[in-house]
Amino acid sequence: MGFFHKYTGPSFHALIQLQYPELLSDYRDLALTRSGTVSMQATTTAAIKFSGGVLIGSDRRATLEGHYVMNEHVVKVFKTDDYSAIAIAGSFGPAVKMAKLFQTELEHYEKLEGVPLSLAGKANRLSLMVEQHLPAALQGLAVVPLFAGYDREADSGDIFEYDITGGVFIKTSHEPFASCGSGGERARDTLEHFYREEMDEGEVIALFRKALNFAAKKDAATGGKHYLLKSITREGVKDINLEEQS
Amino acid sequence: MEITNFISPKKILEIKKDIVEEALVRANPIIAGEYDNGIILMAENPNASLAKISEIYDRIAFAGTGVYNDYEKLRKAGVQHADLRGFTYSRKDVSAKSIAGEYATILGDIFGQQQVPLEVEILVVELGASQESNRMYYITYSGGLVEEHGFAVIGDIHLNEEDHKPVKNTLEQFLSDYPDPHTLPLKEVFQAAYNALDTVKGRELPAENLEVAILDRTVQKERKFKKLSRQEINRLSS
Repeated sequence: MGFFHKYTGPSFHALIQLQYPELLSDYRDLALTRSGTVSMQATTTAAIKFSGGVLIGSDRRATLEGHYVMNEHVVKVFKTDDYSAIAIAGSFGPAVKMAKLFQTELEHYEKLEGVPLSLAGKANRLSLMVEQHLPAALQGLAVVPLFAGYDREADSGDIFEYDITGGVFIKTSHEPFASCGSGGERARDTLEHFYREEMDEGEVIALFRKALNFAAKKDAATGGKHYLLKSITREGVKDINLEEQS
Repeated sequence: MEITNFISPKKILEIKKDIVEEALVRANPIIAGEYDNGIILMAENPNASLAKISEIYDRIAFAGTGVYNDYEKLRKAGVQHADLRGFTYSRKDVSAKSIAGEYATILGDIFGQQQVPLEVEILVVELGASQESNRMYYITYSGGLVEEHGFAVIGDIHLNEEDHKPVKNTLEQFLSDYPDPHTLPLKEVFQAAYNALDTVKGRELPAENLEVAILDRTVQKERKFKKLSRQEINRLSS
C-alpha cells in the first residue's frame, strides 16, 4: 500500500534517499562538469553576531564561469525555520536544491516529533548533506553553506561555517563572524578589522554592507546593488530591507 | 457432508464494526469548528506529550481519536505525503482533499481486508483563503469520507448512563444550536465546543485537560497552524 512508507523515521532526507532516490541527483558517474554551469561559488555570503541575535546575508549576483553575469537578483539566503536561516555559495542548482531540502528536513522533523531540532542538531543535519555532496564537489559542483540560528534555550545566536567535506566550525566569541565564496576573503578581512564587541543590530548591518562592498569592489563575481539580509533574534527571523537603510 | 465454520461476510463486518465502536466509546471525541478568522480543533487530552491534534502542512491540520498507535501511524504517513508533494511540486499543490482521499482509501482497504481494522476516526481540515474555501473532511473507520461545514465531530459515540448502551451523535446534536459558527469570533466558538464536550461527558471537564489548536488566517507566516498555550486556553475559557 503506497500510502504507508517502510521508512517511518523523522528525517525527510532519509525518506527520499531510501524510497524516492530519483528525487536526488547522482553525480558519481559524471565527468568534470564545471564549465558551462551557473555558479555562485563566485559569490559572497557573510554572517555576523550582535548583541541579541545574528545577521546572515549575501550578494545577489549569479555568474557563468565567474565573469559573465547571468542574473543580478538571485536569492541565496533562505529562512529555514522560525529561528534559523542559511546562505549558500557554490553551484547554483545543487545549492538551491540543498537549501530547499534542508528547509523541508527541519520542518518534517518538527512536525513528526512535535518539537523542533536543537540548533546543534540542525547544524549536524546540514553537515551530513554537505558531506554526501562531496563527490559532486570534487567534480566542481561544490556547495558551501553558512548557517545561522538563534538558540532560545541558551539565549544566544550562533553561526556555523562548513567546508566541502561537511566539516563544521562553530563560531565562538573569538571570531563571531564568518564569510564564504569568492569574495569571502576580502569580506572576512573587513569584518576582522572593523568588528567590535557589543555591536547592536544597526551597527552590524552597516558592517555587513561595508564588508560586501569591499568584496564587490575587487571580486567580479560579487555584486548587485542590493544585498539580501536576514536578522535572527529571540523573536524569530526578520528580513532587513537594505534599500530603506541606505 | 463437510461442516465448515462459515461466517457470512455481513457478520464479519458487524464484528469489526463492534470492535472499532468499543474502542471509540472509550476514546475522547474531537471537535473542529469554523470561526471568523479560521478553524479551531479541540479535544480532551490530559496527556501533555501524546497529541491528538497536529500540523500536516501550511494550512492543513490533522486530528485522530481511538487507539493512539493507529492514528499516529496515519498522521505520520499524512505528513510524509504532504512534505513529499510540497517538495516535488510546490507548497501550493498540497491539499487536504488529496490527503483525506488517501486516508479514506487506506481505512476502507484495511477495514475490508484485514481481520482487525484500525480503531480510529480521522479529521483533516484545511484553512481556505476565504471562509467559503475552508474544508473539513471526516474520515470514518470504515473508509467513509464526509465533507463537513460549521462543526465537525469525530469519535461521537458515548455510553448511555442508564442502560450502558452506546449512543451516537450526541455532540453533533448539541452543536446544531450553532448553525453558523463561521460568523462568530474565536472565543465564542471555543466556548461552544468546550461547552459541548463538558456537557456530553456528564462530569466537569477542567480547562487544563483541553488540547486546542487553531489554523488562523491572521498568523503572519506560511504555516498557519498554532497550538494554544495554557494561558491562551485559560483566557478563552473564562
